[in-house]
Amino acid sequence: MKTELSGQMRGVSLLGGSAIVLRVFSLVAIDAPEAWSASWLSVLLGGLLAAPALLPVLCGRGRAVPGARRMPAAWPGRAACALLGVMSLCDAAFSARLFAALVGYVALTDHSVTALAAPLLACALLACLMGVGALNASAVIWRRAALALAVLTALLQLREMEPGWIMPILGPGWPQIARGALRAAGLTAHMLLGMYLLAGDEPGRLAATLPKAIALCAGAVLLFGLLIPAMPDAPASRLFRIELLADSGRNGFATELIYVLMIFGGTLLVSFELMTAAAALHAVAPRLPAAACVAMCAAALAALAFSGQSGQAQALRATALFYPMSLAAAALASVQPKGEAA
Amino acid sequence: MPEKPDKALLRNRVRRNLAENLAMIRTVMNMPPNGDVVLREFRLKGIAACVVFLDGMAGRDTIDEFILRPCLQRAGETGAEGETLLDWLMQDVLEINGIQPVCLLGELVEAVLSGSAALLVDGADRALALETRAYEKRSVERTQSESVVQGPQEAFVENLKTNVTLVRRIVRSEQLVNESLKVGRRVPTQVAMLYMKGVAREETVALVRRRVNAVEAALCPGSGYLQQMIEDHPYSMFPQMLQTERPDRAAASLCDGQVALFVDGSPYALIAPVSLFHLLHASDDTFMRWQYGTFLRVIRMIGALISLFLPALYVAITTYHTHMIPLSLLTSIAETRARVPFPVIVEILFMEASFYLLNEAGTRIPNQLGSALGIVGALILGQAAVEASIISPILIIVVALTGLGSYSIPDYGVSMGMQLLRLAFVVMAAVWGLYGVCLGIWLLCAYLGWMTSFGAPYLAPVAPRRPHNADILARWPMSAQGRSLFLASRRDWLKNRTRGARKGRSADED
Repeated sequence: MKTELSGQMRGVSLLGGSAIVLRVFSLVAIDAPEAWSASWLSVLLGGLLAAPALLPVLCGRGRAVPGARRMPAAWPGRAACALLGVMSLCDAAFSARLFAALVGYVALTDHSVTALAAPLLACALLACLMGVGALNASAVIWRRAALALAVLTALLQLREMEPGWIMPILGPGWPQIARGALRAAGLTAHMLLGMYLLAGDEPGRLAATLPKAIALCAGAVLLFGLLIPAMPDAPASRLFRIELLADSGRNGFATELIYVLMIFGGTLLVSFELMTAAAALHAVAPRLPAAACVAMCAAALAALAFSGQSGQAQALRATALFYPMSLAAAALASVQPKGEAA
Repeated sequence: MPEKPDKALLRNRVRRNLAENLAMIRTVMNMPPNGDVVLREFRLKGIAACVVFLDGMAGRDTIDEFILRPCLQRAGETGAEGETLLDWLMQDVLEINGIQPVCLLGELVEAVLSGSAALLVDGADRALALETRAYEKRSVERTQSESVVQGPQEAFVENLKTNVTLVRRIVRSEQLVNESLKVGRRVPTQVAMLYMKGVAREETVALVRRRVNAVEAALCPGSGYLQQMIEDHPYSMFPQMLQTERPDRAAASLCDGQVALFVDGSPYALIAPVSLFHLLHASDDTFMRWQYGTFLRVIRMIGALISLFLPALYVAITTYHTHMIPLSLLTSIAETRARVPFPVIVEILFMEASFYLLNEAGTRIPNQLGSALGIVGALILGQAAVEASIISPILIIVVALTGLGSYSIPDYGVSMGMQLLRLAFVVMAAVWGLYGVCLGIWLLCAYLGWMTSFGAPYLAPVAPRRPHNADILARWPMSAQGRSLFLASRRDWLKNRTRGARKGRSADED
């Protein structure tokens, strides 16, 4: 089996866009709910903040970022890839742990998080070994199914929605909204860089993906906000938030639909992050075979996800750093190495 | 691999001495004990000659009427010898349209084995292979596995020439090319590769040709063998070629830029490349009005999804996600399951095994006993199993729906693949509930996205996206079907095939 670490931007943008929607939604809905009813505003601001991180790439100066099609010739590109790879690996571990916790809460209560994360990681590893094209195809199917399920879920819960619960719009206050926006921006920016790494061509499509993904995510968060009241004093634990998410609709069937959406999306997200990490490793060490890169990243991901270093607290601390790290990676990517033609 | 007997002998050239040639033929054809090889010796104005043929494969009447009689009647007209005599026979005497000079003994034997008669003349270092094939063959009959309500009813047969003719009768174009290939190193089988020049992509045609020529197997008894030997992913559960017994479907595929392979002895055409969506389409869809076609397709897709996922969803929901079920139904299920001592997974596997058993028995059982099988299936496995509390009644509904779903899939290979995958999904659902089903779906999608059929993505034109007609899930009106298939050449001369249809109609109305 030949593992392809690069694909067409059209497919990658769909995969990455879906991953952005899922990751940012799961962050503001489950792990970091500080902005509560104004989370959708955090998402929108996060999207705006993420855009400048991509300016060097979009302006065509990101030649040091190798993309998967071009091998890096200079150290800035390799450094940017290394940074991106570490972020992707960490985020994949956080996501795997988060979705394992969701599964554990909703259905498999007697399973440990490790036992639940293992099949997710195995599944992501197998999917990544099939290459970016396989992930893209899965993402296409996921998008169609997810849109249908999301619309169905929203329709089923339409009567439960309370517009009053998102009022006043700036209720939680600017500091909370800004903190959420920073995290959302970090996740968005590093995923956009990952998309560029996986595809390399047509960077202009990144610009089109960003607003679509952010709008979709903000819409989903807004709908979610209409279903649960703001509870600033409630426990901020992941399980409590999952309980809110799962029981938000007070409709058993809708609850399970949300669960299916999130789990199916979880596999997409972890696969995308793993693939990005593998592509970054391949860019840093081009002599390593692609399949070996995927396997090594999967091993590192498993070690991280099964350890205690990928829980909610660690995820929150790390994601706060993602934005400056992504900016740094983008800055490194825009460095024009001496002697290389523009 | 052990050497084929008399391999060295088969490489020999045809000798000038007829007796030597006949001795070699006797050795190669194992005479005696072989009794169906006929060597009819005669003389042409004093020169010894012989007609060699296989009784039953070659037409005795043809040989008598058009070879022996002209030869014997005009034997006295020439004084030529050897090569000149052969030329004279070809040009002036033999009343056969297919004559092929052969120089090697192997070629001569192959021609005789395929039903031709070989004419050998003393003094000539060539022989003549004469087209006299007249073996028994089935006549063109109605389709068995791809029946349609509206549309042509004839099906391919086991004869290669008949099959090619059936296609040529539909596609009357000089651009339809019929390339003759052979597979089987030791026992060669004739293969016909058909494609539309200028419509099929040249690289696809070259790839198919290369793969067929690269087959190293000793023999290839049928299209199923060939399919497995030239597919991109031989370990996959999904077929990557379409097997059809309908000439009209093969013709439509050729006009779409696909390549058709016919194997002598197989009543099927192999179409490549294909996508998964081709395998879920049926001929009916095209012959009916677009609304009916779309409706049937949607039903078929639902059937395919039911076939793949229903048992797994039943296991997952009744085991881990009971709150998805409305309370009244949940109570009813609980009541019916109260007396069943096994977990749901055991029930499902028991019923699935019974279903497969019934299916297999139904395929092998003589027609006269078919009704008995129905009684066994319905009474013993259904009613008795419920009464014995081995399974719950609702499970029978689940398995019956699943069975109906799998029968609605038009391609047998896809149907079988889905039946096997269904078991994997059931096991994943039993272990992890909906989580397992979701993981399985993700992996399946990735796998299908990774697969290719002769280089074409298996999920195209959906993933990756390719420009295409509105004819994947829904089928829109014919006027919207103007594009070529994404598999066709970019400079396809059959492009815009339906454009102008409406314009023509308007002109008539005016």
